[in-house]
Amino acid sequence: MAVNKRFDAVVVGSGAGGAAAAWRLCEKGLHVLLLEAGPRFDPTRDYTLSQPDWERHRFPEPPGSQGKISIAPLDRLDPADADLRSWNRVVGTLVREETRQAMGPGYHHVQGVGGSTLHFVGESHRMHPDAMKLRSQHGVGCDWPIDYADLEPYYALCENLVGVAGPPDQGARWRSTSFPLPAHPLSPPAQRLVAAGRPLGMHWQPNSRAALSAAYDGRPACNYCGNCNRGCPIGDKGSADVTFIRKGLGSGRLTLKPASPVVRIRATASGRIDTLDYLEGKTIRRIETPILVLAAGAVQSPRLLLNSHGRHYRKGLANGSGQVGRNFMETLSWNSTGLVPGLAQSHVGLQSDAICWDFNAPDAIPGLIGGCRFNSSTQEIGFTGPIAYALRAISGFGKQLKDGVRASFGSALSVGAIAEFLPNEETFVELDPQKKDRLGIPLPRLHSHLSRQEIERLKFMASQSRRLLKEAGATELVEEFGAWDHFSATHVFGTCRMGNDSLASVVDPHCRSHEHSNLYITDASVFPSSGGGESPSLTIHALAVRAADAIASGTVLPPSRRGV
Amino acid sequence: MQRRRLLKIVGAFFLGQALDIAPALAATRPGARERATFAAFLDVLLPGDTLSGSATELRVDEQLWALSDTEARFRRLLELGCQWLNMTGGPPFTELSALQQNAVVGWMSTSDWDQIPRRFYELVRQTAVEVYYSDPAAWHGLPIDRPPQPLGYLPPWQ
Repeated sequence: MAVNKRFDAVVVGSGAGGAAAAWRLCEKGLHVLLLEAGPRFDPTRDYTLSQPDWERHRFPEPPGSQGKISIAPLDRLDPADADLRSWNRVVGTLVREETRQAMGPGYHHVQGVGGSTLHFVGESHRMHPDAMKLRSQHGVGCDWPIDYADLEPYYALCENLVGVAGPPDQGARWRSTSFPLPAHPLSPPAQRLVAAGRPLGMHWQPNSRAALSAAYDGRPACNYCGNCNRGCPIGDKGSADVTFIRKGLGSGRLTLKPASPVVRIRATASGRIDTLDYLEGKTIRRIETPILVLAAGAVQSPRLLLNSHGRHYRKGLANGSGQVGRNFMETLSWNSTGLVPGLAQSHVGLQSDAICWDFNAPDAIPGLIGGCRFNSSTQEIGFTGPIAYALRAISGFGKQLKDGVRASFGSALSVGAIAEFLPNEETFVELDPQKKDRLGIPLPRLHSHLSRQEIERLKFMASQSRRLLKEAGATELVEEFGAWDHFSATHVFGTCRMGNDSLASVVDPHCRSHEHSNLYITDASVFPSSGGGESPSLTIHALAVRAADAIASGTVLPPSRRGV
Repeated sequence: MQRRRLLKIVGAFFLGQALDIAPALAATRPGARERATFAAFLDVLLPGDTLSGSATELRVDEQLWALSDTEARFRRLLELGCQWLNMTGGPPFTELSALQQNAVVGWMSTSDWDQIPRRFYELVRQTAVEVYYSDPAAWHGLPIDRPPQPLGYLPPWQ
């Protein structure tokens, strides 16, 4: 097979990590090939928020935009925890089986130019410094081999590039600079949560958001349509396609190839990654990889490494430690919704515009280790149109249904929560022994188990959410759903853990493989811990840019190599 | 795109459910009686009022029949559901009074989850609501009169 034109670096995956790494490498003068498995979306054509039937469309899923996965049998549900069941007023119990079930595909992601930032809400969070030191400070989970201070300049750099809007008060997340844009105005439902939190001692504040509160860098300000996760058609949301990739392409040094899934990575006996194979149309092409940056996400990155096993690397690439695919951490989330008489226009405004960090530090939840955050979630979970009310909040039929939708529309108030997920032995990603994709490559098989700690954290989130809604004036709850009975992962982490010890981790503190000196991994698979509910995109950007700087400067210390 | 969304709903509805709706039996096209029964059922679910039209006035029935042309299980469920509506021991569903029709549909809405009447009620309600409220003609009386974009909802808000 012919080996194609040599680039200085090849980046696999154009989401939060791949796009940021590619941009930074281009800025440093390298010529970069960016391979993306999925298609390139056209916001004006593909995002349908201007159509009358907009509410029936979620984020578009054209061919190639979803990576196939399989999910191993999930936990049996203990009736003693049934107050965590998912339900709504119309359908009743949403999971009728006796075991936890995948909600939709289970792993919610986008393959496409921009990756899952295309459908993300756009929260832009820095990690809580203490959430990076769980093992040393609390004896659970795993420490990061770097500190908040190591990331802080990169956080600031990426916030400026994306155009993050946020308030000055960030508590433990100290800042060297202010946000580039002021915080967004709070929407009607967020204002209600802020007020309800006060008597409960909860401090709510505007969320830091990758959405523009004013025109910035050639992009328009947000117009508060409330539907960020269906795809932003005007380009104010800081998804990777309109930020890092746009700037990378502007450098003239970035070559972008959508619809080009990588099928295999090849390494020499000495450990060097020398080429990779990717699909272009129906043709497998081979390309040299002087530097390879892998950023396909915490599910597909380990899959690629495990599937690229060979004579010299029988357990897969970068897997001398046996940690590739291990330490999978999924999204421990909860949502409660009530109808609040007198509340109007809860469908307008920016998604997740208010947040409460009170319980985010690792020891902030009484009796538990691992924090959580609460956020305004009315628009995020889809109470932005009449279909949602008719299908989820107003039961019955006929006059009762139609009058109920009219009377209640705009009064739904939702509070969401996301928490730390501590790694455990039963939660991991492996190659499916039976199921394969169209190219004959095994699918990634996801295993997940909720430990008692996770369930107790969910109970805290549910309890606090219900208290808050009651205080806000919700006369009754109409819907609740969470991770106890639904496997519904959006933020996934840990499957190529970062660490100093090559026996216990996959990459070093600069995201470089311990075993392959020209292989870097810059997605959330390198996270040693999930954080206490922080959305990960900004930290992924920061890690990726930091890794790119290390690549470009050549200052990375030699990896701690081990025999293979 | 609309059809794909509805097919997803139908597929998800049948996924893992205990009720066996054998698609192979669904070969017939709906006749006039079945169409009339279904239309009457839809208009009980979503009746017209002074602000907005009924389900059939917004042509929800036509869109769901079109969906049934491409989804055999859905077609079969419509067939069985309409048969059941006309076999309740009295006159055909279309000849019942409005009060009687409401009573029948109300019973269906709380009946055994694993039997045809309940599944028919649930899936038709779900798909009909999606189609109905996708039509701006159904929005009268709601505080919206246009899609979220391109104008958005600029502050100040109440």
